[in-house]
Amino acid sequence: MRRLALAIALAFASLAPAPVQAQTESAASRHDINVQRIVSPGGIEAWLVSDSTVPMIVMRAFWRGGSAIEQDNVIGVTSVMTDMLTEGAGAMNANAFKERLQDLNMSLSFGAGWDGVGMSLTTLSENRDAAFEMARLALHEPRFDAEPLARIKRQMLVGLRTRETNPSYLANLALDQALYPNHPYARRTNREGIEAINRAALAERRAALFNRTTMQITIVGDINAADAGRAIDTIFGALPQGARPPEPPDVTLGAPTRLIVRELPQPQSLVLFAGPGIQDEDPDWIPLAVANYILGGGGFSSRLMDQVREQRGLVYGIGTGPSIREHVAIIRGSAQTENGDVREAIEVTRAEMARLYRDGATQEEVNDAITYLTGSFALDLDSNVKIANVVHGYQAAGRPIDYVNRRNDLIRAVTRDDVNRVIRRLFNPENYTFVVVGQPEGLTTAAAQ
Amino acid sequence: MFGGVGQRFIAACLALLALTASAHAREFVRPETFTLSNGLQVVVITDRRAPVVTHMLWYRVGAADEPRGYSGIAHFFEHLMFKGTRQIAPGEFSRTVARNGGDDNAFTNWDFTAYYERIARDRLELVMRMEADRMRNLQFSDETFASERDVIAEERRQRVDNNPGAVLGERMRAMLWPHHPYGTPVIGWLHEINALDRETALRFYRTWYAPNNAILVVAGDVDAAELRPLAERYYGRIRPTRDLPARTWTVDPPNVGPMRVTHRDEKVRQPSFSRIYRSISYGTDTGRQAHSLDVAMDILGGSETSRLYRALVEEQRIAVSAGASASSSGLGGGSVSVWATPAEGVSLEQVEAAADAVIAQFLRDGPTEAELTRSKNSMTANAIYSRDSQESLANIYGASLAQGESIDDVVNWPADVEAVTRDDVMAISRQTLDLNASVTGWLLPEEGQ
Repeated sequence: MRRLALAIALAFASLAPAPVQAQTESAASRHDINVQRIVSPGGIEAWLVSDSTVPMIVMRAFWRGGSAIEQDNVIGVTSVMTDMLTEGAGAMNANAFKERLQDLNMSLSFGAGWDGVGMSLTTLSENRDAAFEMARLALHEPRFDAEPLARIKRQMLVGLRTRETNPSYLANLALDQALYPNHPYARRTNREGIEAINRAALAERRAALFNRTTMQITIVGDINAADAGRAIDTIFGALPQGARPPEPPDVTLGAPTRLIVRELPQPQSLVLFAGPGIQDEDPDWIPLAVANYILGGGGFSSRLMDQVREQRGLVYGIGTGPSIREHVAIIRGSAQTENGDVREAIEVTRAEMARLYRDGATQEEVNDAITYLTGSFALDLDSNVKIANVVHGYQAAGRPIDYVNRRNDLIRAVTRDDVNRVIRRLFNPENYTFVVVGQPEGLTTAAAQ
Repeated sequence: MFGGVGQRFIAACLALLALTASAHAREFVRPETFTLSNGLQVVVITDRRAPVVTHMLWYRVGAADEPRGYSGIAHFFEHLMFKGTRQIAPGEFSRTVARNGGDDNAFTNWDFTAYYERIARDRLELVMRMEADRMRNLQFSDETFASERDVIAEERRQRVDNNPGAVLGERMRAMLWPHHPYGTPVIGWLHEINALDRETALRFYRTWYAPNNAILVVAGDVDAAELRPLAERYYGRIRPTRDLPARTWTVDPPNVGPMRVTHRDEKVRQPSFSRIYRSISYGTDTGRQAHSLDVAMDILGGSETSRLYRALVEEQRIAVSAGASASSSGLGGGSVSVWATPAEGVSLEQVEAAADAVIAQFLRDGPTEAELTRSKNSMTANAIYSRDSQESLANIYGASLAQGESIDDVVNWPADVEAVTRDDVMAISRQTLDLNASVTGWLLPEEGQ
């Protein structure tokens, strides 16, 4: 591979559109997706994209409340609970349940993030009713049997050991602890917490999180509105109304640390860097997408990719992007380079950020970024699975239902002034903390500024 | 009158039947295909859902075709293909694709090198012109060459040298294929990467990059009638290479018995066991052997309901992961791997012995009817799911054709999998899971750690 994909998810906020500037637009920049709002007979709302081209259905659901609101003594309980939903339900033990999923050629998984829990279901049309019944069973009648719980805990205990030398784990932990040391976002699982997770704790989290108050559902594929409504009632109809779970506190970012070094014996260092960002409700969110593309947004044309990789051969890849959790927003970048070159790679990165911060972006850069971001959006919408990911992401972020079709207009409306305002606001390298994991030559942790 | 209604009723039923059959048949979409007079094979997979296309050019040359002592040149060359031609300045290829809202990249394997662009359908002509241009007209400076060599060294550190498990895997392959080029890593050995020179790279290019050694695959919002004139215009003018070398690869000496290797690294916190065996592949098998091997490895270790996972992880509780898989797509042969990671306090001897017992039992008793049906059913369902992604279909057809398969082989793959019998599975498993054709690897912490 010539480059690694830089997986930095972007969800864009709405703001008032301004006049559209002339660009060379491709056919794909105006590719509309028909998202319908449906309400099931049982009164549950969902978003539906109905398309019968491929005989399959994708469903995603999201509920507020994740690992950031766990009690301190059972950190990790939320993700164990979501994993355990597919480890046996109803009359089926774990093995019987998984065999049934395979026999139906479906995938069904639940997962937990910092701020929410989610469900993902994919099925062939021919098995859809049986597939929906499996989702209902997992959600309403999980067994939480002792054996699979003990197995998952064994796996987590081994994970505690392997993460000790995992550069990405170490770098992210160092960054979280530097930026918000006392916040739940900086917590990690530990042996005591894992050992304390029991059936009662799983049941408590399941009851606390799965309810109709915060539920958001997206369905994409070979199903019409009436059948989708019935499917929703089958799977989710028996959930209680419930209440919104509590929220963790908002984060106040501390002062940046110029450099944090974590020793790890390996030939290449991992460099992470981060500074204060903005939430997706912020009016600058869309201009940030354009500004970030120019700085390090994944393309070969980004300034960091050009200066650090193309001009100097220091890295295989370097990228930046906004990274948001419900209660903290940062701009985050990463690169990997030989231990002997870390100092230079960081210096070039800081210098390039400083140059952009001082001089701003050119009109040509802004135009190119807009053409790329609007033209390439359809590439994220060329399959049912991708449409489900994008549309459900907007739904979970609280966007209006037609946002997927308005998003390109919002990007077209961004001006050079908008971009340079965002650059001044967010790309000052003096506000960035750098973390290095490896054996970087001649570098040690610096005191906080 | 009555007859008229009846006929219409029957016609309606037949139409419905045909629709159901085509919607649910477990077949890969059959693409359109034609060959230009210069030998370039063209494959078109139409998917009109989004106004975008995936344009891929696959060359029948890969790391296995490198001259001995020049490992990594095929992959290195893949990077150089982005460095410009007489018409395209260095860096301009990707920048032009991005400016038109597209993504581009490339990848290299032992058997092939592939380049692709994903872009709006009205920009297809642009990328065809640029892709055809760089088939013959590449040019780059010594400086560019040297800087890209540093990038590739970083890529190697990132993928291999930083990761003790990858380092061990590379050595195990070198033992499994002691003289065959599949024993050499695609990215190359670092000392040979550092010694690569511009002339060798250009010689490799001039030898192998030719229309009669390539396959053009275009998937998405286009059909053969639309594509053909463009293919003629941009690729049809390129002269074929008359003296393409045969792809003859060195052959390994006979096996001398089970081989073992231990690798220790201070970063290893959790020991693990893995083993690879030589096998047939879709490129070297007869009949349905490769299909049978895929089914066999799925039953033995392809999921959490497989023999290995159930026995080691769920029943004996001595491992936290265990599985098996087949790498069966190669043009010149394949391999299968078996692995397990012990739970806390369990030795590698113990998990290896337990894995061997599972394999021995599988070779003695074979799969149950239920296992056979479940595996085949899961595998063939992928043919339906693949229709959701133009990218996946383009990859499936491109790789299969570059690795010696025909379009019919791909289209018939689900039916051939369906035809695999218990005897087929037993025969290929007994032939393949032979310790005398295997390398066993243990990954361990530093002694005393």
